[in-house]
Amino acid sequence: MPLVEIENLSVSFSSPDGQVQAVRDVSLTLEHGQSLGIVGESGSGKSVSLMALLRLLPTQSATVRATKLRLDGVDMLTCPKNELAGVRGKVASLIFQDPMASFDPLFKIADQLTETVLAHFDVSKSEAEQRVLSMLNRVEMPDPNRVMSSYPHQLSGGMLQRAMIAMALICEPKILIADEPTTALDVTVQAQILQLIGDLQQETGMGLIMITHDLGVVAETVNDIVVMYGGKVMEQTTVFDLFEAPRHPYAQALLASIPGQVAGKRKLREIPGQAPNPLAPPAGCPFHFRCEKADAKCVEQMPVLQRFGPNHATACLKVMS
Amino acid sequence: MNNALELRGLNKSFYKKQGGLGLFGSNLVEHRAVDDVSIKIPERKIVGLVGESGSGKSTVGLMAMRLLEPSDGAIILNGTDITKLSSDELKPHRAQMQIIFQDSYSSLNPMMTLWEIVAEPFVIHKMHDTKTRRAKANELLEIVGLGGMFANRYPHELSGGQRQRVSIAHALALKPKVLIADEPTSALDVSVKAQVINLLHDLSDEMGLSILFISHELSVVRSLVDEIVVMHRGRIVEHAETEQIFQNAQHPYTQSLLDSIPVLNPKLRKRRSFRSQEDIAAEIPKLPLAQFTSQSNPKMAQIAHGHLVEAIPMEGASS
Repeated sequence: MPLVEIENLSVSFSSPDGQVQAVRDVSLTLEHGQSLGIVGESGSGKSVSLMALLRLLPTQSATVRATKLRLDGVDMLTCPKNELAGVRGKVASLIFQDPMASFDPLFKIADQLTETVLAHFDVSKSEAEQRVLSMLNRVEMPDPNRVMSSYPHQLSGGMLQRAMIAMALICEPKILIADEPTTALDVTVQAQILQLIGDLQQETGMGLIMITHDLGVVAETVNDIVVMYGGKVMEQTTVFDLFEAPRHPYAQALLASIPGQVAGKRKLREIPGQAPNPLAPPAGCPFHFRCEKADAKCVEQMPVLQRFGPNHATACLKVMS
Repeated sequence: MNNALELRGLNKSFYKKQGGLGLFGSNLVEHRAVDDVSIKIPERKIVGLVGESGSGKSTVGLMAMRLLEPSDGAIILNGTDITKLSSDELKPHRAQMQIIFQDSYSSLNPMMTLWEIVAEPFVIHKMHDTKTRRAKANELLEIVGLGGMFANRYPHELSGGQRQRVSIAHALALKPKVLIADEPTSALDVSVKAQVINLLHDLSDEMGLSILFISHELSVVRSLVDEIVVMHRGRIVEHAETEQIFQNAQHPYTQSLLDSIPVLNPKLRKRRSFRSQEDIAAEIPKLPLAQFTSQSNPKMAQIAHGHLVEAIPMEGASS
């Protein structure tokens, strides 16, 4: 039984200007202990897909439809509201881009982490503190005793993100969902945090979903990859295949536009234009406005995800032919 | 070659109160955010200023603009020392140097249309009549790729990349010689990042703009700048032509920045070892005295033409 099963997921939000179609017909699975990167730019639907899986979207404005939405075997579509927190807490932990916003500024790190332990396990307060301290050591926190008695504002961004990871892992989740965990960090700290997440995934055997706009991040951390654009899956493959032989024109253009790959002062290959309007997504391929290979057919016809070999699927009319 | 902008021995100290009770007995502790920084930006060239948060790189940019007063040092813009000019005297020189920031959302007035934003410098400098202002604003928006319908829109209607273009159009209004770009692409998506970097390429080539490009990402500066200045804890630790930094970095801090660039090939994934502050301090190269030739900065050794590195002088050693 896979850890995550999402089938034909669509999410839309009602707004004063109409229905915003954030996610359109997305399917993906993650087996236990595997790692998956979801890559896309702002508004591509990468975060919303996972929020929908965890049922964390506001019920007033968000409409979630799917043929299957399962987390560790639990049907999240029919799971009663009062059981959701328990399922999430046992199975999944989330870390976000801005660790400062995830901590309460009024409480010490020790209080916030022990609170998490006490909420999930039947242990004494001193036992909980012991677990927190050993987890801080495990995430290679410098000077963990001092960190325990510090307030969030007294720590650097990198230290806070380590504390966040400690908090996420202390409940021994089956899956860690990291949403742009290093975007706000310096490059040297980013490299350290990514290595740490990779190490912990290997050690604990948990599943990992890394949501990011940065192909450099996934190149370093995950095995499988989903490239999203305009709320749809454009390409689904292994990270090795994506970097070696990307098939979708969007994936190709994304890889080519990464700066600093070659020596010398030169212009970069850019992707002209901008992402489609989610209020009125095009009938055809969402990338056709910006695609070099697009023709009249691409404007009208929505490409479906087509398999090429066991580990590679692409949604592009030009790749089929 | 003439320098469009020269920063000579810039220093900036901030003071923090420490100890004591209330008004009495507390003493001020100096924190030197920028320590003896000298950078020359030749005409039509792009210089990258690289370092992590807290390295002092943005403070240098703000001091160059005189948005922050240096504690010591001089700012020479097109041959004129502007360090001590009063705000009235400074105004004509300000037109020659402009700045853009990372967060274009907070630097654009939400109540103004795009053409009003771009034309505002003409209002401040009392140039042109309204009709000409509007025409010139449209021209500028055209240059940054926001022609036609965009002039009457408001900032909130734009994407991040488009807003950064408006900031650039606004900065170009007075035809500056120098542009200071403080992390202008850090908040942008990869595909849009390339658009903004290419726009800066064009502006440098076609309008002869000299640019100080401040960034924490070495990979972004590689394809854009002619020289790289690396700052660490307020000081310059290495300065060389771009590829010299990539091929032959000598300072341990520069090397740690290079090591942290993600490898874009999953097959070449490797475990990294990270340098601590102590490692960096211990690995600073020791070089023979003869290489410390720089008059302006006695801590820097010259290891090749135009390649300066912070080093520890060693007497009598041969290179």
